[in-house]
Amino acid sequence: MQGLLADLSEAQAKLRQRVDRSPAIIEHADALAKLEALISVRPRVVVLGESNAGKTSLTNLLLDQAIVPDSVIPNTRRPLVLRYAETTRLTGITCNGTIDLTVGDAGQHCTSNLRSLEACIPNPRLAAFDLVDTPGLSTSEQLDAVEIQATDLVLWCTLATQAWKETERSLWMSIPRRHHRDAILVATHRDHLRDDDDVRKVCSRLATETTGCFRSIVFLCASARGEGRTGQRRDSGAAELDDRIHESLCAIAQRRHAAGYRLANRIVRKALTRIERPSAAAQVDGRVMRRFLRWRRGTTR
Amino acid sequence: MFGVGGMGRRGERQCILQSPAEAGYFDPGLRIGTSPARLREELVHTGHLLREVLEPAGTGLVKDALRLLEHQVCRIAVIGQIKAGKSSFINAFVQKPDLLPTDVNPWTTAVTNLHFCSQREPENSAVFQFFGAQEWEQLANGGGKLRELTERLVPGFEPDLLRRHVAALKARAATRLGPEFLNLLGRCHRFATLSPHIVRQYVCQGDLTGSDSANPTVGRYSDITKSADIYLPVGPFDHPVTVTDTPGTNDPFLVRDEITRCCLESADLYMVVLTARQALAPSDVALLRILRGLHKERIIVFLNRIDELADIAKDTETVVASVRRRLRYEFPGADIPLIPGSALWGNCALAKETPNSDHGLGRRAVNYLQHRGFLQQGDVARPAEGDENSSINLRSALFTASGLKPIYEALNEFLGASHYANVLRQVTACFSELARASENVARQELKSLTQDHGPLRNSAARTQGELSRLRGELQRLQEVSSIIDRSAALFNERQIHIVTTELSALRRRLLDKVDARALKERDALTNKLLGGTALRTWTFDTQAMRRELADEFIDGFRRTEVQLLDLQREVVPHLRQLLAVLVPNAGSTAESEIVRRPVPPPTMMPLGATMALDLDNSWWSQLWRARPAPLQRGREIERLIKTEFRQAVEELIKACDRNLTDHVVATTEWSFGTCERIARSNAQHREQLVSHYKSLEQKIDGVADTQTVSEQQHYIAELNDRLESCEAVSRRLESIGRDIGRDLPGARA
Repeated sequence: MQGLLADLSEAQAKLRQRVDRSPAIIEHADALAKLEALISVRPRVVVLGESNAGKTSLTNLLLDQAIVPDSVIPNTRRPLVLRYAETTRLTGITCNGTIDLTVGDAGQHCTSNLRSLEACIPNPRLAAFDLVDTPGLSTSEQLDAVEIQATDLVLWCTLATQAWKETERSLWMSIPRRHHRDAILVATHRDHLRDDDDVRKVCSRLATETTGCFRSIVFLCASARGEGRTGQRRDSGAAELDDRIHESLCAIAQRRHAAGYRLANRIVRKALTRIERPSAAAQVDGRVMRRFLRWRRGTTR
Repeated sequence: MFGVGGMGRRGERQCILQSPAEAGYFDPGLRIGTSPARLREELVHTGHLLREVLEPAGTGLVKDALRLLEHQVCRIAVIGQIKAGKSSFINAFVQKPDLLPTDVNPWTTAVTNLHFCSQREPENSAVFQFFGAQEWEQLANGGGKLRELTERLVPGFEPDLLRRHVAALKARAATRLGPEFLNLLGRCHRFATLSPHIVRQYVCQGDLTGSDSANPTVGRYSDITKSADIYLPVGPFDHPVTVTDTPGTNDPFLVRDEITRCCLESADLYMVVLTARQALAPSDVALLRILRGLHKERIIVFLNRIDELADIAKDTETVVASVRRRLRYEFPGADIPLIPGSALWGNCALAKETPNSDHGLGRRAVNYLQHRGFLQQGDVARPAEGDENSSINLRSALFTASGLKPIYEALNEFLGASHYANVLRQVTACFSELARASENVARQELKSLTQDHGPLRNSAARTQGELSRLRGELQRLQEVSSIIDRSAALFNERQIHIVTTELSALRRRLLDKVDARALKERDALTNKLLGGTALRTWTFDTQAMRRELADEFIDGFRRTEVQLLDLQREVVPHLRQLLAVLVPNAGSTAESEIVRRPVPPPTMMPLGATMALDLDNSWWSQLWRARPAPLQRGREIERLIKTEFRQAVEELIKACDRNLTDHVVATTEWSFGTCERIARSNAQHREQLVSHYKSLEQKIDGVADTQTVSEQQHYIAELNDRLESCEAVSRRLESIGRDIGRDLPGARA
């Protein structure tokens, strides 16, 4: 990724040097700048699942910090986006705009018209990705609230003891197919399975029933929460989950990388054509622009 | 593990079929259905006595009533999502911890009926019924109707998922049974003696992945087994009970879902098993909604697996409160029993091994037991080998915490309030009437004979007088009989009229709703498409439609019910009059005992059937791509909705019609049958007397010879006996009636 970014800035610099000779190529340089910005956006990881599947506990486990409140009955009401920032900040997002919810007057704002919440915290684990915790999913209409289109990696939570029911399967099928390639199935509450034999049986059933739907399946016990001791994390399956997430994110990054290069090459080639033939109509190829906007939204491979 | 000869099938058999009470190591001491069973026995005994003293015409009715009593069974269906713990719950409930096979993956594949106290089949036997060739074909093809519809709408398309399941099913059946498995279809296997090994061959899935540690005989016949009937000895039940275990709902293996739905039609009581951790997930709610309205007094909800909660005491309270709130919202006005517990604890308490920390008594469980006071602080969690007292302590603590006691209590209450109590009441009333009628007749005859006995000599005129009196009475009885027949016919006709008009009106209303909704969807969709929105796919909310139809149906049904019950109320004084004529000394007791029969609620299962509209999104998007024009799509959707729901509505109405017609016929029979029998027996009796007097006429001149006199005296003695027996029977019936009133409260009159 770094290589691509370096190449992009170099290309931009070179193009800008030639601007005085062919002013039209400033548009190409801007296109490259936009591409650079898009590529360096942090990947977005969303935790989905039915009510009480353990999504919030999983979020806390991934953050290694018990920050999101969880409960035994359905508790999360709206999506919570967690990002990295130096200073802690909580923002509420409504249909009209954003409201800054500082700790003091959080209760005063009317919470019913909040569509989602955004929290910026200085948690080191958020340096690699943004994390979104969601309320329990029961119909496919709720996926829009979660902005599934802008997501890179989906983690689906299911209870290990009652894993992969028909309602979960049909909800999964209504998620756009491209997410199936990298997604991870997280079976929570592994401690309720009596022994390794049971874990193996459930694992093989899940593997058979979810072929093609997930990249990997991880068994987790989220109650070994946030003390950060590596030994404990390994036993609880959190280390394996970290590995899998890393794997999936690398695969995503690789694809972005390849697509990034392809697009950059196209833009630069167009720029070169322009430089060599300065009389050609001075318009950035609309098709290229549209293509990479669509790519960012992810509908092309 | 499963003996191949060896250690002893007998040892194993005793293992699963004996409950801990019989084996002697732990007796929870709770029994179900004691009062109804006792009352039923007494009633049956009295019925036999009654048959002996009754006129031949009345015995037919008594025999019918006795047969009805003998066939009373309480059918309990245990339903819930997959892996909710239904099989474990049943094991604990019937106090046989290893009876039904359980596993960490969804395991039950067939509907398993456990029959207790069955009079008809020998104990410890089992019958496994396979699918017929056609049924299996239909099931294997994902439901015949569904496939047909799919093919009609999107020719050449076969949903990917269904195809995979079909292939898996066929391959597995072939591997397990050999290529001749098709010959096994339609048959059934009977076993005169049962063992755990046998049960596991038929009702559980077996290891699908074929790993080497799997036992190849487990689940051999499971793909083709439709149902299993296992006849067991008494268990904790005194009353005949059938407990039905189902494969769960919400199973991604679609085929099994269909099986569950079909078997739920005929249960008397539904036990819904929920998981504490995901209590009342949307599919649980959908299941409850199917049962709503008509069946709300027949549901008991068990919140299983509380042993999995992190902080058992606090979390259980939270979950229970939330579920109760939701239940009150879904079922307004009904008080559905909600019982938290753990089948695991119940099974541990009842198992052969003493409970210890690896086996049900983890740290959290022990904390919980101490918190609730079932276990004292000092009680040891891992008792020494011979320590009987501690072991019993632990077992009873676990059993109490498992929530099974409240279940038993709820069930006893249900038995007392259900229609069993009504049946008992009705039969008691019928027997009382017959007994009293017989008593009357005997008394009258006795009176006339003792009067007659003396002045036999100058009996020419008397005999004539008697004969004409008897003839007059016969005439009147004939009139009464014809009145009874006419009334019965009229009653029947009026009931049927009510049923037909109401049901056809209801059908019309439901179909109108479907059409209106389909039209609305079509317009909405077409407008959206014409407005330029590019839809990738589109789905129809079947649950909302189902709810609407269900509400309308319940409404209509209640209306019919009210009308039928009103009609019954109208008929009651009429019946009273008839009884007064036939049984003159009946007096006031007969009035209070005329019982109205409540109308049994029909099933709403047709509304729960899987429809093409419920299928995969992938199916929908395929359908979508096939039809480009917006108007055509709109029309397609409309047609789809109409077809599916029309069918569901028709099935619903048909089932309701059948139900109500049966009820109507039975009501007529019960209301007027008694009167008719009494009238007929009286008539017969009068005719006997007529012939007797006629024969007497022949010998009128002269003194009564000793033979006739002794005959007479003999007869009079007989009559006296009969009178006494009748009185005794009446008294018994009265006391039974009182017991019913006392022990089986809450029944609707």
